[in-house]
Amino acid sequence: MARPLSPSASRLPGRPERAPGAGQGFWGLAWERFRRHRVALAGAVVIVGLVLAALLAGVLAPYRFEDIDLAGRLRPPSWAHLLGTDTIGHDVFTRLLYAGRVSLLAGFAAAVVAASVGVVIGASAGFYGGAVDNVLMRLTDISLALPDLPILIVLSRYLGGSVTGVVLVISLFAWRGVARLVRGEVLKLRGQDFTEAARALGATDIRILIRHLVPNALAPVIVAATLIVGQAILAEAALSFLGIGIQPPVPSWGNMLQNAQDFLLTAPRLAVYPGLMIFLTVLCFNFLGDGLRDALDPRLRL
Amino acid sequence: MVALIFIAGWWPAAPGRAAAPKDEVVIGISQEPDILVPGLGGNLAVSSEVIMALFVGGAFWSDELKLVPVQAREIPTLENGQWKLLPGGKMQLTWHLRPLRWQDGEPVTGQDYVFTFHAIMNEKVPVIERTFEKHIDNIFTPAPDTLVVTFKDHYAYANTEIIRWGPWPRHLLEKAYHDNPGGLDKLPFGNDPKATIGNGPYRLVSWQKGSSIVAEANPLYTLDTPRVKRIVWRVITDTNTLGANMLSGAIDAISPIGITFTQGVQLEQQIAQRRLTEKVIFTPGMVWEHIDLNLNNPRFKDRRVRQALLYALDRQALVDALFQGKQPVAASYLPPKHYGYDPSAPKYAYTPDRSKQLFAEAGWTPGPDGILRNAQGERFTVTIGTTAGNRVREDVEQILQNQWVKVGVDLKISNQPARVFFGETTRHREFEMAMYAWVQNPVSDCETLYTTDNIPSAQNAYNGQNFSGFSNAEMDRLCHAIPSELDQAKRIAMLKQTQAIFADELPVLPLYFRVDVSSINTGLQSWRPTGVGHNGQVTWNAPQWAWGAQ
Amino acid sequence: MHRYVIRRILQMVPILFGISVVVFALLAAAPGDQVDLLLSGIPNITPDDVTRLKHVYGLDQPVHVRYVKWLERAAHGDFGWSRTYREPVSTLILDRLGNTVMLAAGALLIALAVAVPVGMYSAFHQYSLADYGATLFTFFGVSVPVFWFGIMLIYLFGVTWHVLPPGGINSPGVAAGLPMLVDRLKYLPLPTLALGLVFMASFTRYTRSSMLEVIRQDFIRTARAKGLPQRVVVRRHALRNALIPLVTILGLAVPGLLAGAPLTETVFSWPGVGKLLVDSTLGADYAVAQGIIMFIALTVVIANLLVDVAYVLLDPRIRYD
Repeated sequence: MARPLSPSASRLPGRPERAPGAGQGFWGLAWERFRRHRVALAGAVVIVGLVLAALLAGVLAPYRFEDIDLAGRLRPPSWAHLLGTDTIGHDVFTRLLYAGRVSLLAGFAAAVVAASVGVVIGASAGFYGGAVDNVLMRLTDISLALPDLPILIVLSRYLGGSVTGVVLVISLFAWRGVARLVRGEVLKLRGQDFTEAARALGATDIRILIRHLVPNALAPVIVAATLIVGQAILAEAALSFLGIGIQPPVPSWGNMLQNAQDFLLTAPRLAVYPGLMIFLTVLCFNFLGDGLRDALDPRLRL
Repeated sequence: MVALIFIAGWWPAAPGRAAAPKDEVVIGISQEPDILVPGLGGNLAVSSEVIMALFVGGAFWSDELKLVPVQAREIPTLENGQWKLLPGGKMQLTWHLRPLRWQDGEPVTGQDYVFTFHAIMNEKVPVIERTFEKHIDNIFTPAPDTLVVTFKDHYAYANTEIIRWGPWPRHLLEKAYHDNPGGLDKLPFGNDPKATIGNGPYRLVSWQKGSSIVAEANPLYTLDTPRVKRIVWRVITDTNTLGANMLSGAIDAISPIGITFTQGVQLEQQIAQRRLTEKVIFTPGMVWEHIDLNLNNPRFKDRRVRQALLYALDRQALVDALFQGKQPVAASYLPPKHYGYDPSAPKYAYTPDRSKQLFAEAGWTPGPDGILRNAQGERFTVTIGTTAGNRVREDVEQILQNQWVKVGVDLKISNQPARVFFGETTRHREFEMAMYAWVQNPVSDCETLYTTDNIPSAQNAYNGQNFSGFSNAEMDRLCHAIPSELDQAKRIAMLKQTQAIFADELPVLPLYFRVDVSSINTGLQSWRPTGVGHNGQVTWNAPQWAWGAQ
Repeated sequence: MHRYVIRRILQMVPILFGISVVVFALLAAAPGDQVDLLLSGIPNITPDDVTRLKHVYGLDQPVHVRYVKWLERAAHGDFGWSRTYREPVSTLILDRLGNTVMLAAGALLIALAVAVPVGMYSAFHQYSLADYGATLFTFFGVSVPVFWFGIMLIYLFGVTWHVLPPGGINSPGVAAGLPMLVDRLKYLPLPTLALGLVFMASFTRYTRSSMLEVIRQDFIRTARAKGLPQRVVVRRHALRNALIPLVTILGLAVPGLLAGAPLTETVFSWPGVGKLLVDSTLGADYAVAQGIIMFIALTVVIANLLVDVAYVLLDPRIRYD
């Protein structure tokens, strides 16, 4: 939350300076470039690991996330409880795994929803121009003038603590950037020859948009969506931390952190783990986004 | 809302505590009153703590839940003849007032009470609650020091107050009231110390919003002599900072509206570790945590199922784990402090075998996944709801979920913000299980809670608090009779009967009673919290607070 | 220019109007209000009382009627009355605003104090280890959840090392004047650092990249070719040109600071506008929530306007008419 600026406005050093060999096609080239971005590659590996851990939580976790051991509250780490137990005797390791499921799900879902909405609005605005563009862009302006976290807090009244609600609300704020971006790309492409050619061949507006314009704007959308995942995970954690996001007993890193606060003196580790997980995950998505931008969108290089 | 840890040792110890004899008590409080006029505040518990030092009325409750006359010379009773029964089921109480003055020197007379009564009954005046006043037929003052209150019906608690709120100074408020009754809560009176003219042992001398309230002994107060010259309330909204201030000696006491129970326990440990002279006081309260079962739900229609649910819970383990056993398991709807409490009501101790047996008798037997199923193959899955963001209740829910699944009950949790939970869900009975608390008072009974005509529905405009939908002819008869039964012994007998029916039928699963947490420097004497919320605040005996070696 | 500014100001009106409608609808249409909350805490209150109080407070009127009333009064600068704090909303916000401004200003100062030197050093030593480290730091900075960072600061500085207070804004009972000022200074570092970290990171990045852009430009090369010492080149030429974009970034950071305040203020119990927003929304004190969001939206819109105007003034190549 409160990220005023896109986290990928600059490149990590150590990226490729040399243009990769020709004749490999766009995606091949992109992969070549991405491979050399070591930090992004590491980010991608960690993310794959996190996703696997979340998917396999049912197998990896030694307990069920709702299991409680009332006699064994606030236990330090041990073989029975790798990361100890929390204030009412949950196994912390188990809950971290399941919480990752919630956080990643929220992040990916928000990115997909936001990217889709953004593409539709941006493409319509850019393609049709005129009144449509005006209305849609004013809408975007209003949305941009809305402070995100405060509005999220207000909207939280409608969430009901469900993952779906949290995802929808976060998506409401994430589409704006994508819309602007796609609109710009479409505006640029609209006047180009292949569009005119398609139209001459009798293609409908929708077909031109879907077959020709949107795919060409795909690269920056992918980069933006990757960054949205990280932002959405932060937003979900913030809401849950304030007690208005995901509700117990469903664990999320945000609500685990909230629960840990009262016991910072006696069990600070309870606050450390979920925060570290949020940090690590968001960091990896930001690295990945940076790498993807380098790979997919070399024009954007400084 | 977000509380952080106790910080031990950062604050320097208060300088020179032992040097001069103390003439003030500094109380830390975590919330701030909104307005200092009896009956007008939205946050009654907080406002009342300060208000009870600034304003007195006819009588109030002591920490032992005895009625103490204040401006009244004595409490009217049938025995002393000041409470008379009139023909037609009406009653008349006569109160004699002791001489008392408002801070500006004007006498506090019966006229003030009469004025306040009429203001409270005005629909436009935003008084929060006026249950008591609704029973009053008329109030008049044959002499300045005498009040006669007539009641429409036989009302057992008629002598607990002259009127529920006030009195307010008629000579200061009458004009404003007639000009704009709806604006009474926006006047300087109750906000500006200069305009807030009270009649209590202390007078308001300063109120810095967000920071502190200072009250000094009122020289015109004639009903008692305050020992401590000054009471200072420090508003410290962060409850952990509040605890730290207590540890460092920067404040002399933490109000019962201060720290949470969990923090109270941690504070007690800190005090013991460092051998400080402070102490934490846990006062048994009247707040009753429970689960309403919606009896419209076919699963809960069978009494055996309701009993089985309670037998399956190890509530003692729950209160031991969460509250170190300091908040007692509840057996019924009345707290042990209540005059009608029945210690012999069945306790439903943890007996999972009995639970399984009762479930089986009711036709629920474990399926292949261990979850109970009935003859139609329906699973025993129920949803519980409570106020979201209440961490203790959320913890309790998860413990219940764990305990119930052991007998095959699958509990789902779905919480809502308090305003939705109380505004919609419980009121419209749109729940299966609802966990919340009733704040009981010394004269609580069951009339609005467990009678058939208090089941909220569209027909009665959602009036009543019988959210379970409990309907029992004997219970109806008893609960309706209790408030109009003037003989306390008979009332107690009837209350015990209701507790027996309640414990047998279990329309509601009782969980535990909350305790009030406060803390004082051990030198402060006569700090006697009542545990009765805003019906009797810790300030009820403020004039008797004193410093002394102990 | 004048015409451009006037047009922009006129454009603000429909945007603010739109926001006020949206926010009011969101706040008022949801079930449950402050009167419903009373049911939970007061034993004798009956639904009768609730109905009566809703009528007294006008909460039983339809949303659009309430909105028009709100708008009428807002037009006269009256944003309503807080039922929790018994104060006019505008007074309440203005009271807390000082604290939020103090926090935000502190965060900006910390951010700039670190970002400008680090970003410049990074740019002048591109691809060095230090540059690599600085860039990593910017990634860390934008990835740390501010509330967790705040809690960790509290744990380390407040609990473990006992060097700074863990929350709040001042110690109770400190005499006014200098002692109070000194006392306040102890409460500032942790929350400002927590709020400032993300800005520190992004400012570092912007300083670095705009400095890189400037360095590559001809006049710097010329200056260097003339044999001017590095320090002079930096001070006289590069810095000034590189800071122009940073000024606009500062303007754009204002709304971010205001939006980030709720979390930081909640973690540190800092009595500012952000915490007030969280509390009033949870406590269903909608007049306050509405007022604060309108205030933040206004600030955002004005900050955007100022940024655009600053652009025109600072960069003569951009023209509007």
